[in-house]
Amino acid sequence: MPDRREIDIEVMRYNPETDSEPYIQSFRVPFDEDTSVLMGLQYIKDHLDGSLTFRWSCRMAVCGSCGKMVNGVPKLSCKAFLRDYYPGKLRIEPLEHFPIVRDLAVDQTDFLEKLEAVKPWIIRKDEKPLSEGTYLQTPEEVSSYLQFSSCINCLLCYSACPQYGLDNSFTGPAALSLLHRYNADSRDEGKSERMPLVNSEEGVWGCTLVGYCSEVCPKQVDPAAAVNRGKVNSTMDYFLRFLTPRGGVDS
Amino acid sequence: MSARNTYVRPMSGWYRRNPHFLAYMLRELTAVFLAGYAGVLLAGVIALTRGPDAYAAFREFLSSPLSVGLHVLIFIAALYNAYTWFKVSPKAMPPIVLAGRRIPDRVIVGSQLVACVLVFVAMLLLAGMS
Ligand code: SF4
Ligand code: FES
Repeated sequence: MPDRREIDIEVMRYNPETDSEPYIQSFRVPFDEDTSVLMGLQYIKDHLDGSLTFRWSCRMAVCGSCGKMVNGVPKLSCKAFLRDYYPGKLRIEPLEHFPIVRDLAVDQTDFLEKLEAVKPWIIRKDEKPLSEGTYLQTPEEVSSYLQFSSCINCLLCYSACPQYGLDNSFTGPAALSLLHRYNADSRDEGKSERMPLVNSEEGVWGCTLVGYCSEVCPKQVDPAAAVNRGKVNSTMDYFLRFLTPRGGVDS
Repeated sequence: MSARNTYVRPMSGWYRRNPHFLAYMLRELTAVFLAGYAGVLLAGVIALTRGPDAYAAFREFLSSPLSVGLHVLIFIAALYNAYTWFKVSPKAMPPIVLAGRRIPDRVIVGSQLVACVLVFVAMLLLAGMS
C-alpha cells in the first residue's frame, strides 16, 4: 500500500475503579484512505493498549452502537474517516450528556427507559384476526412516518441537544421522533395513550428548537421536525379538548 | 448488578463548544431586542395618552441619534430573528405534497423569504404614496 500516513488520536480515558475524573491519552495511528475512526480505535486496542473500552458492532452505520464525539461533534465512528481529519488530529470522547461507564462507553439506561415510555409499537383498540389479512396503507400514508422509522437509536441527537444535557428529564429527540412515528401511522390507534407525554414539560415543550439534532443524525430522521410537529399536535390537542367530548385525540 | 461509578461531565460553557450553539444563543438574544422594540411602541402609546406635549417629546426622542442607532440595531436583530425562524419553519409544518412529490425544505424557506421581501417593498411603496 503506497498511501500509509500516521495521525494522532487523543482519547478520553476513564476507569471507574481508579480514576476520579477522565483524562486524555494520545496515540499515533497509521491509516490509509479507507480507515474509519472506529478502525483507528480498533488499531489502538489491538496494538497499543488492549484496555481501551468502546462499543461497536456492525461497522456499517446500521446498528447505532459506535457513536462518539469526534472533535466535539457527535459521529458514528464507523462512518467517519481518519483521512478527513488529516493533517490535524482527532480528539475522541464518549457521547456527550451521558454518564461515562468506562473510557468511551456511556450508560444508555436513561434513553432506554424513555424509549419504552413512548410505547414505540402499533397499538390497536381491537386486534384484527390474522385471517383478515394485513393492515393496508397507501404510499401517502407510509410517507407520513417513513423517515421517522429510520432511527437506529445511535443517540447522536441526544449528544447534540443541550436541553437534554441541562435537564435530562426531557424525553429527547430520538424517543420523541419514534413517538411521532407511531402517532403518524394510520394503522395505529394509540395516540390518546401517548399524548399526555407529548403535552408534558418532559415532552415536546422541553425543546427550544436548537435544531442541531437534525444536523448530526446519520439517518436523515430529522428529529427536530418530529418534535416540532409534536408541538403542533399538542397545541391542537389542547384546543380540541374544549370542542369534542373525548378531547382532540384520535380524530 | 452493582452500582456503577459513572462520571457525568459538567455542562458549563456548553454554548461555546460548537458554532451551532453560538448561532442558537444569538437567535435567542435577538428576542431581547424585539422585546425592547415592543417597549418603545408601548412608550409611544403611553405618551399619546398623556396628551400632545408628551407625544411631541416622544417623537423628538425618536429622531435623536441615540434612538436612530437603537432602531438600526433592533432592525438588524429583527431581520436575523425572522430569518432564523423562516429557516426552521419547515420543521413545524406537516410535509406538503404536490403532484406526488414532497416540496423540499429550501423551497418552503425560499418562498417565505420572497413573500417577506415583496410585503416589505409594498409597504415602503404605500408609505411613499401617502
Ligand atoms: S434520530 Fe437520528 S441521531 Fe437520533 S438516535 Fe435516531 S438515528 Fe440516531
Ligand atoms: S458500528 Fe454499527 S453503526 Fe457504527
